[in-house]
Amino acid sequence: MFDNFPLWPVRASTTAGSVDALYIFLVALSLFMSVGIFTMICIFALRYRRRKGLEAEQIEGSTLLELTWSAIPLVIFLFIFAWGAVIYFKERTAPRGATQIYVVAKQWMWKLQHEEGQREINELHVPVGRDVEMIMTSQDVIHSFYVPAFRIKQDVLPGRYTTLWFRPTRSGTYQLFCAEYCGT
Amino acid sequence: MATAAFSHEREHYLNKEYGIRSWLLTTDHKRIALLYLVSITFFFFIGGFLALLIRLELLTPAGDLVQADTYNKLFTMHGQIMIFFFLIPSIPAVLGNFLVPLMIGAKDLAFPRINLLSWYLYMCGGILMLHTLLTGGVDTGWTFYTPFSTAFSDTKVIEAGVAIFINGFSSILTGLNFVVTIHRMRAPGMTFSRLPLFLWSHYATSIIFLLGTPVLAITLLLVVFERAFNLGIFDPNRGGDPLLFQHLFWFYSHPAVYIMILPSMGVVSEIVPCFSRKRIFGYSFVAMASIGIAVIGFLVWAHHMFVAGMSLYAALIFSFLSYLVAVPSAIKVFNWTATMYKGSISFSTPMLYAFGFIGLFTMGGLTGLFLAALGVDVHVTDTYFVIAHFHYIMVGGAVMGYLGGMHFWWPKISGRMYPEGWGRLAALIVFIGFNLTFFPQFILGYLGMPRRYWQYPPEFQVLNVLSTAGSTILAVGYLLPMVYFLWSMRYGKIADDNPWNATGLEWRTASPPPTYNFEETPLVTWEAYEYDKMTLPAEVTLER
Ligand code: HEM
Ligand SMILES: [Cu+2]
Repeated sequence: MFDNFPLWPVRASTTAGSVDALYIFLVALSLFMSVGIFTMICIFALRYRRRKGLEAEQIEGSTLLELTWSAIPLVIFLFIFAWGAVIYFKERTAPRGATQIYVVAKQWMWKLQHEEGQREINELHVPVGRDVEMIMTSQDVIHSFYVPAFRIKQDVLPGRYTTLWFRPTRSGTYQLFCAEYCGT
Repeated sequence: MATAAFSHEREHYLNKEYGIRSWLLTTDHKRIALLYLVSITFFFFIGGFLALLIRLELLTPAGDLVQADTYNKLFTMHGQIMIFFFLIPSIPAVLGNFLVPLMIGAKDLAFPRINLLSWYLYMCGGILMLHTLLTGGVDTGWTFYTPFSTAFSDTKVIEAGVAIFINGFSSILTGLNFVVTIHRMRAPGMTFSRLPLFLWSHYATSIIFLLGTPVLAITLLLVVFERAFNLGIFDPNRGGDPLLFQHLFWFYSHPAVYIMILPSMGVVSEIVPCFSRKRIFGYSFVAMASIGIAVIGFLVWAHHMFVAGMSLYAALIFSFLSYLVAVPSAIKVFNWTATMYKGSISFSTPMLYAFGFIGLFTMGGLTGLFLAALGVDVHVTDTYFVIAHFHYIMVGGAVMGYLGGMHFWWPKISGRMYPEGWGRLAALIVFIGFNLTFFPQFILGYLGMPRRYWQYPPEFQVLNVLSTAGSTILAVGYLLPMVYFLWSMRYGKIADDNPWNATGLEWRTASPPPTYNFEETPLVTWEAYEYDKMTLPAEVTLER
């Protein structure tokens, strides 16, 4: 029934799990923060709604409160920063011995070549459970190699090489998108 | 005099002179504000129309309504018109222009003629942009990424670039005018620590206008040069560097997102105390948060480039700095909420927009945390997640603030009240339509739907249909205020000088104000937001 209405992308690489974990943490944190703020606003709005016999009470502010609600978010933010950085660090450093695939992008086509020499166009077949490193360049504009099921993406630029790696964990057919706008 | 028999009407800036010349050659900041109001509203509806076409195309997975290259032009011109010709000028050039002198007790801005010039520059840019739109359009995306824009696109890149270049000078001049006016023309007693927060946020915005916009201008000029004269700056085939373009572009365009949100934060900081009858909680923290945002905002630009091919360590630094810039935004949200504590809260239209602003801005800010997290950004960058994030802030936040401000100051601007019932209804429709349009896009983004595609896999359809449905509701919500504002100019109830019993200086002169704003220069002896010294507005006291 949910074929037409998925709410979560397939998880098909080792990276996908760790990205999802941080994402779920962020969703939970956001829910907590926004529900907290919205309930406060609703409570204040109802409790102190304007009516006869209720006067506003003036409060200037409180340095202690200000410092608290700056410091606590800052600590949480730094925690998220560190978590995100660790994932990114792993994403950007390919494990030794990864199979290399050479990629040339050009307007509306991916040309891929395996180490052993066989070529593919717009499709890539790789075995499950093996590290694969893509070494990519572009012949014209900027493209971007994006496989949502693997949670990885890397822009592909003319005049230089960029790399990306992944390790598929689940066999299947997954979408490969060009995520950088490259014209018609 | 003979005119006295005509009417007991007092002379004010609207009826002082009549005729088209008196408007096109005016140097009165209030009239220039109205010139801007008419022109940005025009561009808003053009941009909105393009957006509706985009949403209609995305109703079905197949690309059927328009051609692929038409679609590319639609989202490009939607972005360029909305950002450069509507949202950036919106609050500063309309409400800021109108209110900066009034709020500090001055007769006009420091450079009235330059103020008029900035409107003409805006119009020159705008007309050129319209010409571009009508004669074929551009298809580079609002971001003009090279080398696509300089070597591959065969659309009117140069013309659009020049239009935005010219328009940039209108921002620079407005920023200059505000900075000088706020420094030099404050009425006696109006010290910096008594400035309304609207002015602090406009001061911060003006600094970004002054320091950021020239960089955009130079960048666009380089694009034009590379395209027109074959210089190799950004195109690797000619020895250039495409990442250099992205750094320069975002060096302006990240601060520019704060140009769009800071003024709106200023509006909310005026509305919340007024409709809670309270001093703002933590005045100096809210004021300094604006300055903090403007300063740190200049140091985070490369968070738009985490997968662009930048070095690993640069990415770490920019991610870290992006988290720092989120702190002042959080401080503001907490202070607005705390201001309501023990207040006497009314649910008038401006306050409803302020509620909407706080809610939607909070969600936009929180999703900014997702994007600044490197590991997550790799997956969601260039997907609908980013689209949803910035619409929550720029449309949910900034446009809500703009509409809230328009309702709040409409009595001052026009001398008439808008119809309150319709106002509340429209605010509700905007809020519902907005969420229905953009919330599904967060889910689409995490599922992996890339932005800037005119076709998509069929499993994304349900969410896209929801989004398109929401956008039609949103359109109704935006049309309503335009209709009843126009209606109220003739039929609205006559407004008092201070219908909300608000504290600002702008409320201590007539509605609409006389040409030189104040009969005599005011002497300021109070802090901003001394709501303890104000009585409740008459009509509102009658509520339960
Ligand atoms: C609260 C702090 C904020 C943080 C941490 C944050 C973070 C980010 C990040 C990391 C991106 C890049 C996403 C990507 O392309 O992958 C982004 C995109 C964007 N943000 Fe924010 N943001 C914040 C607030 C804002 C505000 C206040 C605005 C506007 C008023 C804004 C408008 C935008 C826009 C326009 C884009 C996308 C531009 C494009 O690619 O076309 N953001 N944000
Ligand atoms: Cu940014």
